[in-house]
Amino acid sequence: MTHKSILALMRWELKEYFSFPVFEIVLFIAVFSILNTSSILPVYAERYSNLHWGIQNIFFYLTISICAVFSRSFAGAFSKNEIKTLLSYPIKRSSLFFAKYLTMFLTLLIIYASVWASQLYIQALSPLEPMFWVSLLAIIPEILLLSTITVAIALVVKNEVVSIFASVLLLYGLANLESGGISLLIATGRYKALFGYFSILTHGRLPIGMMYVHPPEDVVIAFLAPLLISIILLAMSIAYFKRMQID
Amino acid sequence: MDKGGVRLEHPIIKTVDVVHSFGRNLTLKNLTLNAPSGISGFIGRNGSGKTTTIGVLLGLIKPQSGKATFFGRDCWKDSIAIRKRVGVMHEINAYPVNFKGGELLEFVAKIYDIPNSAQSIRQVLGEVGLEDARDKPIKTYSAGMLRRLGLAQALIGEPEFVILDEPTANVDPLGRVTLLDNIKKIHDSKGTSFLISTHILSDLEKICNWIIIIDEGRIVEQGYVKDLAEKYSANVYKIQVSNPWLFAGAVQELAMVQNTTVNNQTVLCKVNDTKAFYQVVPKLVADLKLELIGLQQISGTLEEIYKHAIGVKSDDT
Ligand SMILES: Nc1ncnc2c1ncn2[C@@H]1O[C@H](COP(=O)(O)OP(=O)(O)O)[C@@H](O)[C@H]1O
Ligand SMILES: [Mg+2]
Repeated sequence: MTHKSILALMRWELKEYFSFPVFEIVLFIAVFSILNTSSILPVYAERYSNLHWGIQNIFFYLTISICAVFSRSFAGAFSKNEIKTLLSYPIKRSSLFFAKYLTMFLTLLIIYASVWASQLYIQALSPLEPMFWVSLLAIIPEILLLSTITVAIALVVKNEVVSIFASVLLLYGLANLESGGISLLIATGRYKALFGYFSILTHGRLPIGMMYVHPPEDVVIAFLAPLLISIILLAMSIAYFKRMQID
Repeated sequence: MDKGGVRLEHPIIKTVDVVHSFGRNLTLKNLTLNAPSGISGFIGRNGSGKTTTIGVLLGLIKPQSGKATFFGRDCWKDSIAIRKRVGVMHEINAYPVNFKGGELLEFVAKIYDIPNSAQSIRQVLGEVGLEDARDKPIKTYSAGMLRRLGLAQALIGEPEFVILDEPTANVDPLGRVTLLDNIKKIHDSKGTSFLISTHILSDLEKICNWIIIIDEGRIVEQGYVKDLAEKYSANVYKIQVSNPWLFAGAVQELAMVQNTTVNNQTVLCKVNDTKAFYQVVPKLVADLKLELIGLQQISGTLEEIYKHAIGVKSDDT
C-alpha cells in the first residue's frame, strides 16, 4: 500500500461524503456556531476573553457535525456496500480505516479552524493573540475524542441512522452530566482549565468572567485525557475493523 | 452423493468443508467447491449462499471452519495477495455517484498500480463498449451501463481471475447477451478466467466450461459442462410408476441397464440401448402389475442438470 493509494482513497471519501450539499451544510453549521458571540469588550487588553465564551457554542455544533459526518462514513458505508466494494480491491483494511478517518478529521478541522479564525476579525484581535492559538489547538483533542467515540459506535452498529442517534445521545448526555461547567468530564470544562491556565501564563490573569482556577494537574489531565482515550479507542476500532465480517 | 463429478487436477479456487453462519442462520454447510481456469458458472437459487461464498473467497468473511484457498493461498490470511490478482463485480456496487466513469477507473488503476493507466482505461472502456460514457457522471448511467462499468473496473487491474456476482441481474435481454459476449471475448483474447454467479441458467449455457451448482449452502454438483451433460444425458430415463422400489429392483436385473436410482418417487435409469429400453419398460411394468405414470428421457441441458442436482439433494436430506 503506497501513499498514492491512500491519497486516492481520500479523494474517493471527499467525493462521496463532502460533495454538494454536505460540505455546504457542515460549513453553514460551523459558521452558525460563531454568530451569537458576545459583544466586543471595550478594553482591548480584555477582548481575548470573548474567545473563551465563543468556543462553548462551537463545541455544541461541532458535536452534531462530528456525529453525522463520521457515522455516515463509517456506518453508512456498510449499508450501501461501499466497504465491500473497496475491500475487494487490494486495499488493506487498516489503510481504508486510516484514509476514512484522516479525510473526515482533516475536513472538519479545517472547516472549524477557519471559522474560528474569523473570530480574530469579529473580536478585532491581533493574529498574534496567544489565546487564539491556545483555543485553536484545544479544539484538536476534542475533535479526536468526539470522532473516535463516534467511529467506535458506528463500527459496532453498522447503521448510519442508529449510529448518529447513539453518538449524539451519548455525547450530549455526557455533556449534561455536569452542569456547573468546570468538570473535566465535559469539553467546556476541559477547555476552561486550559484557557484559564494559559490566560494567567500569557496575560497574567484569568479572562473576564472566569472565577475558578484549576490546579496544574487538571490542566495536564484536560489535555492528555482526551488524547489518551482517543488513541485507545482508535486502536480498538482498527483491531475490530480488521476482524469484521464484511457481508 | 456424488459431489465431485470430475476430479480436478489444478483448481484455482478450492474450498473444503467451509462452514459459515449469520447468527443462527447456517448459510454455508460444509461447502466443498472447486473451480479451474476458464469460465465457471456458479448457479443456485436466491439465498442459496453464492454471495456469501464469494465473500469467503475474497477474504471479506472468515469462515467458522473449513479451508478456502485461491491460487493455493489462504483466502482470509493472504487476501491482499489474492485480490491483487483478482477483479470483482459485486451484486450491489457502491461507486461514488459524483465520480465520472473515467475517474472510477483511474482510481482502480491507481490501487492496482497500473503503470500506463490512461491507455489501459481506454482499452478497457473499448472492451465493454463504454467509450462515450467516460466523462459522464456515474449517476447518469443506466442499469446496463452500470454493469458494463462494473465489468470495466473489474478488468482494469489486469486480473488473472474475475468474479462476477449476478452480472445479468436487472439487465435487459439484449444487454445481457452483449455482456456475456463481452465476457467470452475477453476470455478468448486474454485468457482471463471467470467465476460467474447467477440464478439464471440460460446465461451460462453458451459460455461456461465448468459448472458449480449450490443449494442451501451445499455444493450439489460440479464439473465440466460436457461431463455433466453426459452424466445426465439422453440415455438416462426418468420413470414414474406406482411402486418405484419394486420397479427399480426388477429393472436393475436387465442387461441394458447400467445403474438405477430412486429419487422423489421417480426411478432414474442409465441405459446402454435407449430404443430397447423404451420398449421393454411397459412390458416390465405390466408383468409387475404396476401402473406406469410416466416414462421420459432426460436431456443433458443445463436446466436438466440443475433440476436433477437439486432433486438429488432434496431426496438426500
Ligand atoms: N448479512 C446477513 N445477515 C444475515 N443473514 C444473511 C446475511 N447475508 C446473507 N444472509 C443469509 O444467508 C443466506 C445466503 O445468502 P446469499 O449468500 O446472499 O445467497 P445468494 O447470493 O445465493 O442469493 C440467505 O439465507 C440470506 O438470508
Ligand atoms: Mg447473491
